[in-house]
This record gives sequence, structure tokens and C-alpha cells, in this order.
Amino acid sequence: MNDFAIEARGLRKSFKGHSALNGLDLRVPTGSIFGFLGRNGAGKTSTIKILMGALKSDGGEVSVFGEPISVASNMVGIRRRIGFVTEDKELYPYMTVEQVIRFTRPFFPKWRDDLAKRYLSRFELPPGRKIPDLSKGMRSKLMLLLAISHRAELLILDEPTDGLDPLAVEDVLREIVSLAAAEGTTVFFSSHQLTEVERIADRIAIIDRGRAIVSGSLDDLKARYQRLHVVFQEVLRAPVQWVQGAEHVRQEGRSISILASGNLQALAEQARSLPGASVEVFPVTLKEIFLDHVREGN
Amino acid sequence: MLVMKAWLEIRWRLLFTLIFVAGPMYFAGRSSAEETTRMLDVVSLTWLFCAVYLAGSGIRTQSPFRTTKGLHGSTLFTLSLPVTRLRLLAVRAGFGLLAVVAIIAFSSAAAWILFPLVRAGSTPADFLRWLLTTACCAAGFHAMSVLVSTVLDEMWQIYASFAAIFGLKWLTSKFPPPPSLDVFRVMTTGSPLLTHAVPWPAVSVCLCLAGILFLLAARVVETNEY
Repeated sequence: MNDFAIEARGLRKSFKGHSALNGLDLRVPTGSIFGFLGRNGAGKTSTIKILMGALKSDGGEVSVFGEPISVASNMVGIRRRIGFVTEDKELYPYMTVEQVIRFTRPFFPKWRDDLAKRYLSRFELPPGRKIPDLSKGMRSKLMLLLAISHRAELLILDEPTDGLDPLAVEDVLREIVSLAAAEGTTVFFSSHQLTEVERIADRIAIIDRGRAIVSGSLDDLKARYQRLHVVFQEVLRAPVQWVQGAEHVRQEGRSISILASGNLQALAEQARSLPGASVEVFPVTLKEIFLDHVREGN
Repeated sequence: MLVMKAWLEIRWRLLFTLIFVAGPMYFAGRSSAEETTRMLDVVSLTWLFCAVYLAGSGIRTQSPFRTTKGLHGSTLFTLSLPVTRLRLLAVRAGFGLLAVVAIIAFSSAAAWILFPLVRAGSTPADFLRWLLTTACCAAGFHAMSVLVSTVLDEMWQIYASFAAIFGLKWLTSKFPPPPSLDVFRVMTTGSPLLTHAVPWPAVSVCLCLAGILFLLAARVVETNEY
């Protein structure tokens, strides 16, 4: 078994001169739940489309399950092992739920009817209903059912909870976590919902302008990043040259907020040494890490 | 299962084209040779329109009732299936062609039965030769529409293919090719019903053209990005 379900090195893709991916490096360990974050247009969907073979990269190397996707003959075998939920959750408008399931089943030798039936009932999907008559939440659940029922080794989910009501979000997240835990399925998902990512992901990558700007285990990142909040009695007249570890510094009036990535002790001591400064240290959320990095990049 | 998808995409179109082809036969007069010839002229043209209308690439999702503008979201789902793009194309194009042949067989049989003047002077073997000829000619136009469907939205695919049929008909009327190569003539006034022989030059040209256009479509589909 490969250590990495997905490995991308120096991935590049341009559309009419606009660079969507600009040397993206990505490593998704097998068995992990990997959150893929970025603003709109950061390159998330382009990456996913390249992984699925819908787009061709302009440069770089990508392998899935250790097999390079640039070799066309690998793609059929690779896709047989992947479950995919598309961004807009669209399926064939002329099929019913039951027909879509019947259509998809023969493509996957490991398909399990019992799983499909179980999820059909758990997700409360009406088998006879046409796809256009389903809500977006129902379509998301149906796509998840199709992805899960063939016992995919890798789930690629493009914003799986987008447009879902809180109850449906809860259902979908629970299924993702239980699949990863029970079957060892690798889950690679993009999302804008940072609280959801923080709840279920064990690893993340934040991409901006087609490059990974933060990547790693979520626990490591949260241990590494801390926020220092420094309040002064008066507004600082001269800018401070902070020691190494201050990732992003934001000053508002008498207070300075520092996102620190390591060297916290030295930073806190430097802050305390400034005249009239009171210093507090806070743990940071994924949202803060994301916002600070993406804002800085822009 | 790709056949099931193709059938669900095509079934209402098939019904619509059947009505479209049956119309000229229903309204045509049956007493004179001129009326029968005119009917055959119109029906053979409707076969070509059917060949164009029933074509698809198998990758771009088609709606059964209306033309789809842009790429439907389900295209990405289709591409995520563990099948090659060539297979998606071949199954859809093959099924479309089968539907075209079915329509031609059904309507030409109807013309044979309903119009005594079509039967007059020809044998059942001539009828089969006529069927073979028209099916091969339609295959050329079908392959053209398949190729266009790989690059254009469905609405433009149909417009462009219809324009190509009219353009070619106009061209052959202005600059007549050798009679044995005139695809419009070999389906009507020069058909095996009258000549009692398969027009092999026109049939061969249409089949070769269909093969070349299909290979081109396969190449386009392999290199396209979605």
C-alpha cells in the first residue's frame, strides 16, 4: 500500500494566460481526512478536475495510489477506486434516483447493494423521484451514496456540504468520519466551511493563487500557531521589528495582534519588554490561520 | 449501462423524429409518380435531419426534450466513471446510429407498403438495397454531427449540421458530382428502387467519411478538457 493516496509535485495549469495552479505541491496520506481549503478561484476545483482526468495539467507530476495519472491507461483503474462528489452535485436530469443507482452499479466490481440500500434509507432518498425534483441536499446525499457504495478507497469531495441544511451537513460529516474510521477510506475534500473542516479533518492544505501556502497535520498546525495579543498604554509611534516566528502582525490603535508560528516564548518576551505592554497568548482556530494567511497573500 | 444512458437521452427524440418522418408520408398524395418522387425526396431529407438530431458525443449530457446550453454539471460525473472517453463516445454514437437505421427501416418499410408506386417496378431485394444505401448515406451525416457535438453546444451542433446538409445539397445542385457519387440522388431519383443496384461509389464514400469523422471525433474527445 502507498503511503500517499495523492501526491502532486509542482502542478501547473493555466487558462487563457491566467494561472490557476502555480506549482502546487500536495501530499495526502492514505487513510487521512484531508481538508483542502482556499478562496474561490484559488485552484481547488482545477486540482480536483486534474485528479479526475477532466483537465490535463500543463506541468508537474501527479500520482494517485502511486500511479501517475499522466499515463492514460492508468486512469480507468484509478477511477474505479475513487468515489467522487462534484461541486454542483448535478446528475442526469432524465434519470430517477433508482435509475442513477442502477446505472452506476455495473461500473464498479466492488459495488455493494446492501450499502446502497442502507444509505438510500438512511438518507431518506425517494427511489422513484427524478433528479431535477431533488433538493441540492438530496443530490449531495445521492452522490455520496454512489461514492460510498462501491467501497471507494479514496473519496474526492468537492464542497460536499455546500448548500445543505444543518441537519444534512451533520449526516454527511458523520458518514465521512465513520467511513474513514471503519474502512480506512482516504477522504480528500474541499470546503469553505472552516468549522466543519476543523471538526473532521486530521490534515489540511490551504492554497492561494495556485500554491499551497500552509500544509500539514491540523493538530501540529494548531500547536504551532498561537496568537499574541499585545495592548499598550499609548499608541506605538515606531514600528516594532519582531523576532522570528511572527507570521502576521496587525495593529489597531493601541493593540497589536500577532499570529505566531513557533518561537512563541521569545516573541512574548520581546512584547513584554516594550514599555507599557500587557501580553496575552491565545490558541488559534483554523479560521484564524486561514484568514491571516489568505489576507496576507492579498 | 452506457446503452441505458443513451436510450434515456434519445427515446423522446426518437419518437419526435418518427413523427417528423411520418408527416410527409401522411400528407403526400399517392396517385401520381411525381407526388411519390416528391414524397421520397422530402422523406430522404428528413432521414438526414434525423441522423443529425440523434447524434451525441456521450460525454456532454443531453436533455431528452430540449437542447443543452453549455456543459451540464453531470458531465463531470460521466467523466469520473471508470471508462475511457473513447468508449463513452463509441457507445453513444453507435446507439444513435442504430436509432437512425431503425427510423430509416421503419419509414422506408412504411413507404414501401403504403405507396404502390414505390413498390411498382422494384423487388423486395431492391427495397433492401435502398435501405442499405440510405443507412450508409445517413451514417456519414450522423458521424459529421457526432464530430460537431464534441466541440459545440448541442444547439449549435444541430444548427451547424443542418446548415451542412443544406449547403451540400445546394452545392450538389450547382455543381453536380458524378451521379454514382451524389448522395442525395442515390437516395431518391437514382435509388436502387429504380436502378436495381447498390450505388457502391456513394456508399463507399459515405462509409469512409463516417469512419474518418468518427476517428476525428475520438481524437477531439481524447484531447478535450471539461
